[in-house]
Order: sequence, then structure tokens, then C-alpha cells
Amino acid sequence: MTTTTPLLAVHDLHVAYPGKGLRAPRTEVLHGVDLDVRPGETLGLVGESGSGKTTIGRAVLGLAPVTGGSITFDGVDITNASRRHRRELSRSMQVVFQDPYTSLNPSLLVGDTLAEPLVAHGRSAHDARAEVAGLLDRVGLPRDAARRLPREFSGGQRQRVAIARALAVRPRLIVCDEPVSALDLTTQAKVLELFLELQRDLGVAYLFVSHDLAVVRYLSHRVAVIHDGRIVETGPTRDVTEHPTDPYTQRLLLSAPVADPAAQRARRERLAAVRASSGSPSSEAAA
Amino acid sequence: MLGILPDGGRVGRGSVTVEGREVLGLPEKQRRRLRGRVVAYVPQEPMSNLDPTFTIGSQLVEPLRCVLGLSRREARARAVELLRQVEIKDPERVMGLYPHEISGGMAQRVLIAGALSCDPLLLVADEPTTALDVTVQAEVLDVLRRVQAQRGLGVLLVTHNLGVVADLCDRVAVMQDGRIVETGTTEQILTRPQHPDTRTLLAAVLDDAPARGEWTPPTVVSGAGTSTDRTEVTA
Repeated sequence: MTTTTPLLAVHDLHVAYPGKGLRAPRTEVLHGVDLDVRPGETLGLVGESGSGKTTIGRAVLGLAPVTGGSITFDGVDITNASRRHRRELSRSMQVVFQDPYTSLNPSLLVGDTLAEPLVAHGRSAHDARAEVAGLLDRVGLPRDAARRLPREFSGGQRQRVAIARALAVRPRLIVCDEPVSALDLTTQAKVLELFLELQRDLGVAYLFVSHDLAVVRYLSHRVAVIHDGRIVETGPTRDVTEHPTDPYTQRLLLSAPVADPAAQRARRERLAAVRASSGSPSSEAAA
Repeated sequence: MLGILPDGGRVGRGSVTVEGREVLGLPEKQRRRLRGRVVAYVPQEPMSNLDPTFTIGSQLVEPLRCVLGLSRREARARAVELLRQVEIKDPERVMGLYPHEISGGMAQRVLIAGALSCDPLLLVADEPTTALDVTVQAEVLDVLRRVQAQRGLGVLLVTHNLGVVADLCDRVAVMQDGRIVETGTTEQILTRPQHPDTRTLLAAVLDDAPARGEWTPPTVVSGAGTSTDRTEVTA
């Protein structure tokens, strides 16, 4: 760790959702998570479905019931921030969701979608409109996009709109929840480039949540691997993805097939070896 | 191929032969005889392709009785055996479960078992692992590989994932806009692609992309954030 204070620090975070029905026990989905993101840094958060990775992002945004631990942003405790404080925080903390088809208001012109956060933060309608043009340039969309509706755009372009919306208020942290998972391979590559470019130019930090190790590896300075509500391994991307020490991380890495038949054959054999040595069941138990 | 195009879609021209026999324009009755027994299908979404109101067992037993005319007891024994072949532990118990009680990976195994139930010669698998987590995907691919080897099964695997192709396929056909642009052995296509579309596709794969280097503290942060007094210390 360097001398820079983290922008976001999560300590011993517990999140539990209420059970179904009266007096049903709560279900704890995060069991004490620690992580931090420094200014301008990307922390990749990798895990499989149900691991709690999305919940961490949601807790940071104040969208999940935190039952223990603390979340600090820029040195200020925001674990139980008031509505008003949250509103202020939205200036420095934004989000890009997975599905660009449902995260944009279908009846709002793209220009209005982008102007909304600006106006909400006190900009005049006129100034906001002027800034929208700059935002569209920034994310590589044509200027006339402002006068069109989301349905006129492809998935990749819609995700650019969502990114532009997040950028509008010049946040210092963007929580990205699987932002490229719904895109096809070539579009995904282009949107990842955009994320890198924006970070270089604007110094924004990303908490990048994904199930896809290749994507995370490409984009993140550091990686945290989450399994069953706990961080099992964390460190610089190269260390974690090339010399993983945790058995689950090893299994996760080797499970993703590579597009080279010979390399994939070797991987398959290593995976079999890891499975055998860690004694993990070859088929998962029924829920 | 299966003759189950969505309503309104129809085959304009061309020919599809199964075991040397033309199947386009075949009456529905004869076509039905092909499904399951000759050509079987594994769909993409395991959960939405199981009926939530019936147990796994009954969904496997039913077609066995209908198509193969087995007795209740024979069909049941065979269903248990099929579940064992797709590496489900404790198949007896799984027979009694409902789809919502099993995981996505297990549901996909059940569907593979179902597809295999009438001893087909050809399996058409449409993105069979796309909806699954990677560790589960690896297990399901192992199952497919093993049953294919055991039964000498032909598999037509439809996927967007080139890793899955490398893992399972002998030959590949690359499609773009409703046309096959390139075919060849997996080795050829993935290591020496010829067609520009195939190259573009492979270039977007991140497998060999270098990991991002370590973070360095920002010296100048232009325009990010509006909070005053930012204390970045250069390490």
C-alpha cells in the first residue's frame, strides 16, 4: 500500500437481507469484506453468481442493508449516510449497470438523460445542454445522438450513453456492475478501451464488478476474488491472475476456456489436477 | 434442422439431410420420429426449458415412455442411469426434486440427460453453457465431452465463446450475417484464421491481453470530482 489514502475503504462489511416471512432469520450474504480503491485506480471484483460481488457494489451505493462494518469515502464514513448526504455523494460516486436496455429511460431523449444529473446538481438547462455535446464526444457518440431515443441505439452505444450519464457530474468513483457482460465480443473490446481512456484522461476510479476474469485482468490494477460472501484473495492483477494462491481462485482461473486448442487441453488437465487436490466436488450439490 | 423455426420463419431454399435422407418438407409425423431418436436438442436456458410444475424424474420418464414405450419401472431405472451418466450425484434424490430446487448447472445436466434419453446420433446444443458460471461451465463441458466419447455422438455446438470451441470442437464454421464465412479444423480457425471476420472476432479475445500493470498514484487529476483540497501524495 502506498501513502495515498484510499478513496473508498470498506472494512469488515456485513450485509444481510431479511428472511421471507415474519421472524424469519436474516440471510447474511457478505461476511466481513475488506477492500479499498485508490484515486484513479481500478479494483476488479471477481466472483460467480451468488458470491456477493454485486451486493458489495450496491452497499457502497447505499442500496443494500448493511448490518455491520464500515464504508468510508474520501475519509468520511458513509455507512449509514442520510438521504441528503447520499444526494451529495452522488456527485462524486456514480454507477454503470449491466444491462443498457433497462438502465436507460426509454421515453427520454438521450440528451435529456444526460442533462438530468447536471440539472439535478444545479446547472442551468442551457449550460447542461452545452455540456451534453461534450459528453457525447467524450464517449465517442455522434452529436445528434442527443435528439434520439435509446431504442435507436445498439447495446454498445447504449452502454456509452450510460457511461456518459455517469461521467456527467465528474465523479471520482464509478461502480461498474458487469458493464460489458451484455455486449458481444467486439463491442465489449471497444467499450473496455473507452473505460481505460476515460480513466487515463479524467483520473476516475472504478470499482469494477465482473464474473469475467479476462475482462477484469485487462482493466484492473488490482483484483479481489470473492467467493461465498468473503474475499478469498486480493492483490496486484498480475500476481492474482498468474500465480493465484487460493484454491478457489485457481479453479476459477483454470475454468475459463482459452481460444487455443492446445493451450486449452493443457488447462483442462491442470484444472483436473487442482480439482483433485483441493477435493472439490465435481458436481455441485443441489440447493 | 429440427423443424422448429419460430412462427412465420420458414426455410426458403436448400436441403437438410439426416442420415442421408432429406428432411425438409417431410411430414410432421415423420419428422417427429427423428426428434429425440436421431437428433436431440440441448437449449441455452436450462431453467426456462424445464417445466416448473413437474419433478425432474417425471420430466425424464415421460418421454422415455412415450417415445420408447418403456414401462414405468424401466423408464425410471433408465432415467436414474442417465442422470448418473451426466455425473449427477445421488440421482435417486434428484429425480424427486422440482426445477426450482436445483442449480443452473444441474438443470443443464438434466437437459443433457433428457436429450440423450432416446439414444440420439446427433446432439444439437445451442449455447449450452452460456447461462452458467465458469466453474460450472467447465464441469458441463467435461460431461459433454465424456458422453460424446462414450456414445460416439455427433455434436453440433452453437456458441459465441471461442474458448468453448477450443475446448470441445473438432471443426468450426464461423458465421456472420447469416452466412458461413469460414470453415476448418479448430486448430486452423483459431490459430490461422483466413477470413477478416474471423480475424476480427479473434482479435477481440482478451486471453492473451497483458494484465494491467500496477496502479501509480495520480499526479495531476484533471477535472475529476468537485471536492476541494485533494491530497494526492506521489509515492
